[in-house]
Amino acid sequence: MKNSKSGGLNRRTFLRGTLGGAAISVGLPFLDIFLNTNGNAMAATGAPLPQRFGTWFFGCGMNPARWNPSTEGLDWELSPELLPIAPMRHRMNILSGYSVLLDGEANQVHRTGVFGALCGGAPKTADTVTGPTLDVLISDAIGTRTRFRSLEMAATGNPRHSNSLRDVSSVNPAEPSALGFYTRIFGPGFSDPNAKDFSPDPSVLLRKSALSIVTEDRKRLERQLGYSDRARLDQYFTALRQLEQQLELQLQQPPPLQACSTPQAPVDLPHDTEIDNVIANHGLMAQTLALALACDQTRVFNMQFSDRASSLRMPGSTDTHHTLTHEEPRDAVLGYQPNATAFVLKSMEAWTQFCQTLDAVPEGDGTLLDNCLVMAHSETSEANTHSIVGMPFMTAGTAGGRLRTGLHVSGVGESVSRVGLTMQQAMGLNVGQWGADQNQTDRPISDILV
Amino acid sequence: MKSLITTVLLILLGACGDKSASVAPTDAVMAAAAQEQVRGFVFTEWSYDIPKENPGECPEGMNITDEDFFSEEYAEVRDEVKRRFDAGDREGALGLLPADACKDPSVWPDPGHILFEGDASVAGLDLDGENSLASGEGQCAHNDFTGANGQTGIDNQHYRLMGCVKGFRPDGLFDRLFDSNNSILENGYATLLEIKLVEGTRDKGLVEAKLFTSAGPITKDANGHVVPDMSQLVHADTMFHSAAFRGEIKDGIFTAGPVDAKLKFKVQAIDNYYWFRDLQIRAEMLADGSMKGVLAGYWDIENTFNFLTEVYIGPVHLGRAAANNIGYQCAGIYHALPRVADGHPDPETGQCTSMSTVIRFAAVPAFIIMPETSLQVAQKK
Repeated sequence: MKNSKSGGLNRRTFLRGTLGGAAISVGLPFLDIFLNTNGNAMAATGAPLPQRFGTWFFGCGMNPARWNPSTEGLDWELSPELLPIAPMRHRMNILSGYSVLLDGEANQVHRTGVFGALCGGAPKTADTVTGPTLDVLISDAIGTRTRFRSLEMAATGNPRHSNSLRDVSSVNPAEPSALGFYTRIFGPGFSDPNAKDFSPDPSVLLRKSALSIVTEDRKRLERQLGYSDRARLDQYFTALRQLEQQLELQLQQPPPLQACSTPQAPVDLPHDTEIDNVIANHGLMAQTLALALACDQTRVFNMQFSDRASSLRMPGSTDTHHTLTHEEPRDAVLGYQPNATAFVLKSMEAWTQFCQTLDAVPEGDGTLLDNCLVMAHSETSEANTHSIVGMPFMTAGTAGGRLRTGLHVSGVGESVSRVGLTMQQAMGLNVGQWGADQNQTDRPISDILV
Repeated sequence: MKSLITTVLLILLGACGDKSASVAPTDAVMAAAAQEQVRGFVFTEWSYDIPKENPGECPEGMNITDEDFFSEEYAEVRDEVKRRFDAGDREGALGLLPADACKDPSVWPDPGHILFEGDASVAGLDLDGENSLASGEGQCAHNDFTGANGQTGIDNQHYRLMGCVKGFRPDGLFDRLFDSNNSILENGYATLLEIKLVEGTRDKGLVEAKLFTSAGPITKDANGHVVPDMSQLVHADTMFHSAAFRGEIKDGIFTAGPVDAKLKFKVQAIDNYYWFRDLQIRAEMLADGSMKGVLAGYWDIENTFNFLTEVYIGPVHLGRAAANNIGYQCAGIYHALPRVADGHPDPETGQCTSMSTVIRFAAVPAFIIMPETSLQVAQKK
């Protein structure tokens, strides 16, 4: 439904003037006038607001007895290790108790938990993963019409800290620097959807043209190859076709977007695993990501707050979070490892901050977070024993109203695949069954689905 | 009859794609078991004996790790190790560290390993029939323990080896792993016990027993609890079938042995097997049909070292990382093993080649199904 009250104004309307003799233009903030009367679609195009999916990863899990809430449903009781999420608890869900069912495979420490959750089954060996991961499945469905199919970030400053992969040989590397992440999105190649003028980037035209030539060559080459080589080539060209699609988008004028504005470049901070630097990098990346999402540069993202077998460390210390989970004695009075647990609390604080950053961007009749579904997860429950029983999951956002929030659902004994299936269905994928072997399920977590 | 049953079961297993190698038993399986007076059990608990009460003192302190022992060498290369590790060159990073005795124990001389010398409330059996003293004669001389109930002569040299290792103390890494029962719940295999009545009644009689490794993991319910009375398929490799050994059920106690047994174990980064010699079982038969007790025998010391150090994630050998987490040095363990060994002296050198060890276990009824085709694999040392 078009909004009849717009009176010629649209999101591309600029306030113009001069400053010191130079012409300046200032984009308008997003106004209700740009939306339809329901506030859930663009008035100019009728297109619904984009929905986004993301993962947020924290390594080395939690202490189940202190993290799992003791009550279920709405108004669940905040547990000691979930206290930091209190300000956002009603925008989140807690999914506890879900496990990777090993099905006879070994628990490959610090791998089985994460890839069991993201791929729907326990990896067969330590150096294989049956991809693609959940985010790639979802980006195949919703990420093909944006400039970036997905964006990966590592607040730990290491591009290898990424769980996103199509198969074991094609891991999507993470952007390790907040400044680099900013430049990648808002540097050369960024096309402001609210800019008045649009002209295609010549370099993009050239790249697209080159790819077309490659495609011609491909047909000639294929005729000379055997079956396995053709299959291999096909996989390679699938990736190239995706690139072509992304480039094609850059040659089109993007639709205007309400919440999109270009942020200032962040400062470049040390890229290491010292907790204060990680938190700072994470915060800057979250802010850049929020605007990248608002500008519809991508609809899928993966944020690594820490890595598998968390290498986070406190300032001045060489003991990593991971080392502490194995070597720190449990305090006899407290009943847990205080130094290792400090990282759990830091992780929950960072997760809350991440959600608040998305929630701070107004969009439509709500906020950017409302139009997101973010799944927070880890690779273990209790890291000390590498347990993959009762893994911690949290979600934030409603994916445009497709999810309820504020709930704690306990899935003790159930497969983590139920979480992954729920994420896919919430993002509109036509998937009725997901997972492998014992982890296969056709039951989403209906408690949180609308 | 049994082979027909097995064939049907194997077809069922294939059809379901279930690698757990366990299914609900058919009526025919249950009838056959009843007719032959055979009872099967699947182990539901498996742990070393780590006494939570009175674990004993270590006046010389706890053992240290390579990270402690080589702290200066580690400090010198720490940044470069981290850089290489972050760049994905894991082997290159590990290569900067001092030579790894967990891969090759000959690279370092004995750095010393603190043995547990005192007394503690450990479980076990008197395997050699003697109240042994370390001051006695022979290389296998050792100090026995006195049990909680006053039983003397308990042989448990494994605790002498590990009693002053941080991860082996109450609330240490092993203790927590066993508390979580992951040696059963995460194990790629299960341990099976078959008891066949030879003479007398089920409650009082002579029996013949066998130990097996299963073909797949144990069956768990939706809450992760072991399901009793399921059929468990035995591993096809006869290396993991013990010979039949004699036993007795009397006054609610099952005792049997000795027997040699190799039992597979696949948990997290360990995919190996235990080699126990002259293993004995003592367990209480409980009213619900389950049993709870100890396996006590002699653990081959070469196998022990391999079991501790053959730790892999993919191709990467992580024996030293495991040792650092648990709290010992591989070189220290390697040289200490012959000192604590108390069984099976080498006929030529007299050096003992095994150490007395205790495993606490519990088991519930199960139907044990022999494989249609067994791999006739020669027993390997």
